[in-house]
Amino acid sequence: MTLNPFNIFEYIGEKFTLFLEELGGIFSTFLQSFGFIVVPPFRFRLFLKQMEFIGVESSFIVLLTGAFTGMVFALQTSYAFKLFGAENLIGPSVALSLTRELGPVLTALMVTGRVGSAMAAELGTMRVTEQIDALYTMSINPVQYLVTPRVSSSVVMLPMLTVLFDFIGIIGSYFMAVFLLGLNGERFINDTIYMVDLKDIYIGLLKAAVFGAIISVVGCYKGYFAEKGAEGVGKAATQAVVIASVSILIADYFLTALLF
Amino acid sequence: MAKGFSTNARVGVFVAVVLLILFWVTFKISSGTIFGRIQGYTIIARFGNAQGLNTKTGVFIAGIKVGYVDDIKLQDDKALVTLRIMPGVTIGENAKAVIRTKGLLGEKYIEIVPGKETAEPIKPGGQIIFTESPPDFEELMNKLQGIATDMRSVSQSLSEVFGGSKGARNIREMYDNINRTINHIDRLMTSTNTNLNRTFDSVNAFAKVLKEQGPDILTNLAQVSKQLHAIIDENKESVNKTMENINSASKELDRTLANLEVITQNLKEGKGTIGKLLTDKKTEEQVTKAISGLSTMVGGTSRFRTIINYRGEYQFKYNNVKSYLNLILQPTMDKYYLLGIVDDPSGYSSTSTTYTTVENLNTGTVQQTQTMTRNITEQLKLNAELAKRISYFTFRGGIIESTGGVGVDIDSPGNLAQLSAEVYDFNQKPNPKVKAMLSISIIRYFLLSAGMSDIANKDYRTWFMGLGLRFDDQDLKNIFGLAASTTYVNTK
Amino acid sequence: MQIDIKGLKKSFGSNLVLEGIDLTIEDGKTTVIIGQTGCGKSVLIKHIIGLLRPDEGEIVVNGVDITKVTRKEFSDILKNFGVLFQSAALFDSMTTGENVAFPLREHTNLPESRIMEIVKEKLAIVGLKGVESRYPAELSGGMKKRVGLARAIALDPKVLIFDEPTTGLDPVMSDTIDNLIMNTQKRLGVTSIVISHDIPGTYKIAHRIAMLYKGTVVLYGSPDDFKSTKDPIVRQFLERRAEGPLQVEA
Repeated sequence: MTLNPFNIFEYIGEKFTLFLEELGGIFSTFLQSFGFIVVPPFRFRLFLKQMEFIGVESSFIVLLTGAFTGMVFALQTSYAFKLFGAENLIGPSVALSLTRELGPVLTALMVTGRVGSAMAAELGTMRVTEQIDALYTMSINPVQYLVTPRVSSSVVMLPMLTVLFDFIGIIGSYFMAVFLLGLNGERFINDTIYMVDLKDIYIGLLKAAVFGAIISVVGCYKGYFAEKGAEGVGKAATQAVVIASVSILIADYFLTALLF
Repeated sequence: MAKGFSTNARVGVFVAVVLLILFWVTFKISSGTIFGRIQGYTIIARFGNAQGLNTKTGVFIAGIKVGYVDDIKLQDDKALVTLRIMPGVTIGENAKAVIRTKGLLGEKYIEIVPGKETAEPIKPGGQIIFTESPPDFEELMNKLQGIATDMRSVSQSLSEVFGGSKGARNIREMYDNINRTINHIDRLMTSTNTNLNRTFDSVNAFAKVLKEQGPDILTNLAQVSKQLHAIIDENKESVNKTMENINSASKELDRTLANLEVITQNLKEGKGTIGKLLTDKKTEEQVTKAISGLSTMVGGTSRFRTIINYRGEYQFKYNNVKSYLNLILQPTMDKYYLLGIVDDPSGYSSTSTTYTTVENLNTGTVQQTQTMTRNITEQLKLNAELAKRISYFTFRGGIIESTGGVGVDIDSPGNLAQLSAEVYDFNQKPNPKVKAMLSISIIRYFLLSAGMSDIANKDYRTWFMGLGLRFDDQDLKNIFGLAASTTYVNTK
Repeated sequence: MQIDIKGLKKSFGSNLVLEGIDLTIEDGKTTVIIGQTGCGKSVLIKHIIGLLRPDEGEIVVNGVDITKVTRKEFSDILKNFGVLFQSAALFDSMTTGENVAFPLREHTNLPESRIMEIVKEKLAIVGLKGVESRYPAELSGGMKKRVGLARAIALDPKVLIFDEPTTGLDPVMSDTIDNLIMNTQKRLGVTSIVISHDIPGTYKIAHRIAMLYKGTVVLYGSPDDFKSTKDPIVRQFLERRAEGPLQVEA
């Protein structure tokens, strides 16, 4: 497209309209998928299947990243805290960062990479190969059949994965602090327990639930409305990851500002 | 994916594990509370300054957490702090709530200092009456400034006392008097020695006679009195002399004591800043606070140590004792500042040259001979050194015995023994003063040392042996009972 | 089940796709809809199965205008329809058996044993045996189509819709599928709608043929009507010529 100044406005306007359309589409998908939670038939098997896919099968990667995040964080903060002779703050600061911020966000980003893209690709393929139309012609609401189980199990599973992430992260930082930096283990635990509030954990989990909704709704939306062809499916998967990741970070800011 | 378990089982295991962790963590964090239901009772405390306190700030007794701050409110310009205390922990009515800080930048916490006597426990909902807020930083700085001003005037008056011509004369006189007194006593002791011995022998014999020949005592009385008379007669002159000596000695002593008395009187009455400093209770408190505050500030979590040591060295050649009194301020383990006074009986040495002119009458020539003598007089000297420790070596330098100098100390592992060498007084002729010493810490507080001083000058070098006393601030606190009045001590 | 389409119009943006279709799909007959790519065949079908809503016009099925009914009501009407998609649209997360059983499990309360019987029966109709536990990815294109057909007829629908059933198949397989469509139609007595480009196949299976051109029906009649028509557009299409009034869109 030529960069005619008049065209630029047209281009921006067009893009903005597209953006609004997308936002509206995502939001309507979200509303529909939630609405169908209370509308029979209840597809418990599909829900369970998605729980397995989103939760159980993501647990390994979440545990792995959680452990390393905790360890690296302990190592990094120890440099700063040593300057002040405040090594006893390593435990609390790792625990607080994990429960309040890093746990939910990193878990969500990991799951976005694994699950969000998979959802977009799966639904995209179903769209392209007319499986979604087939569902429709069999008098089965595709949103209820495909989107609702994914969204609801994401909302349930993200907080659970975050619990794992937080827990293994704190264990990782404990090992780092006690065995590598030579801090007193009991003191580490006591300081951590003393400084971390239940509120910190539960608000972190609430955030995770919101992130779960974002990941699944964006993934499903992108897949559900994928364009024709293999390229369309690939594009849907990529866009799902990008949009979900950015939305998670933006939502995190607002949630933090609102909830803490 | 392994197909050992069904989807249901896998999801079930996952959810169970996660919920288990969540419950466990929840329970751990809310220890003392059961799922949000708070246990324990509350008491209130009013603080003038609750800066740095938060809800959940810990409440400690003897370093053990017994509760936390539940609520902070403003009431009549005071901070009304509600403390939640664990059930089973009682706090006496005479206890005191003190806001303390962990380290300089550390967080605040509340320490409950129990009263001396046992008292009725504060009932739930009651108030802890005695509280103490931390001095805030500005206040502390102001205090430090005030103290610094005081210190300056102290050092000024000290320099007047010791440095001025009048002061020097006073001290010289004092030492002269003491010296003379000692001389007198010495002479008295030697001259009366034989006579006294004989006297005591006689008295002994007399006692023996009395004991053995009790019944014959009367008959012997005349003889005894005769003997006694003879003794007195014989010793008449020396007794007189003795009395005279004692008299003059006591006079000297008297004068010395009078001098001392004037000084101590002045100090006692608070004349001059040093006197004020010693007598004013407020000053004492301020100094204590300032020093412990300073320690906290400068040292962070490690402490600013203050060490005072005294050492006397018996110098074999001069047959006298050289004394050292040093104040060591140690902000970190690897460096310290040393300030001290040295009393050296053979301290001041001046070299004078005497020219003797002899006229040879036979030849008509004039012969001149030159004699160089080193005059030694007593002198008070100052030490002011900076020291830096690198592994077992401590390098120090600055003013050593009122002259420029450098030194090195080598510590044995465990600091049981120290080998040190120093060079100072570079103007000394023909060579600067060189001193080498080995110190061994025999028991706590005591140091035994031996060495040689002024090694480089053949005529003046002397072996010495010494005994030292060494206290750090903790010892001093224990000794002077300062610990009781400290309010802002580091609590590490 | 007769379907009457009256004055159906649909446009996407400025692109007018259906310009007023009037067509009657006769009950118990096979109607083949032919026409150039992009002439609106698929759009027409999507209107019949309710995937698209028209701008104007009506579609009357069994006396009910399906463009006016609610989703719920439409959902019930749809249960009478069986659709075989161009790509068969088998659910690749399910086995062949599960695919065929899917509508039965969703819409009936039959016991599992009965469902398995019906699955076997339907697969037998399309000439398949012992493929129940295979996944769609393991099947050939023709087999997929036949499984798709088995699934489409699982609920014994009254209307069967075939979207280009022989596209992408070899001539022998195409003929097999055509036979299958004819046999099924005869056996079940259903109304069939077939979209096709395959002219010989069309003549073979069709009772009625409708040709769409530029959003309208240019000719509707029996295969014999088409064979004898003088309409240049229809002739060009049937004789497979590039030259003529039909133009490939640039």
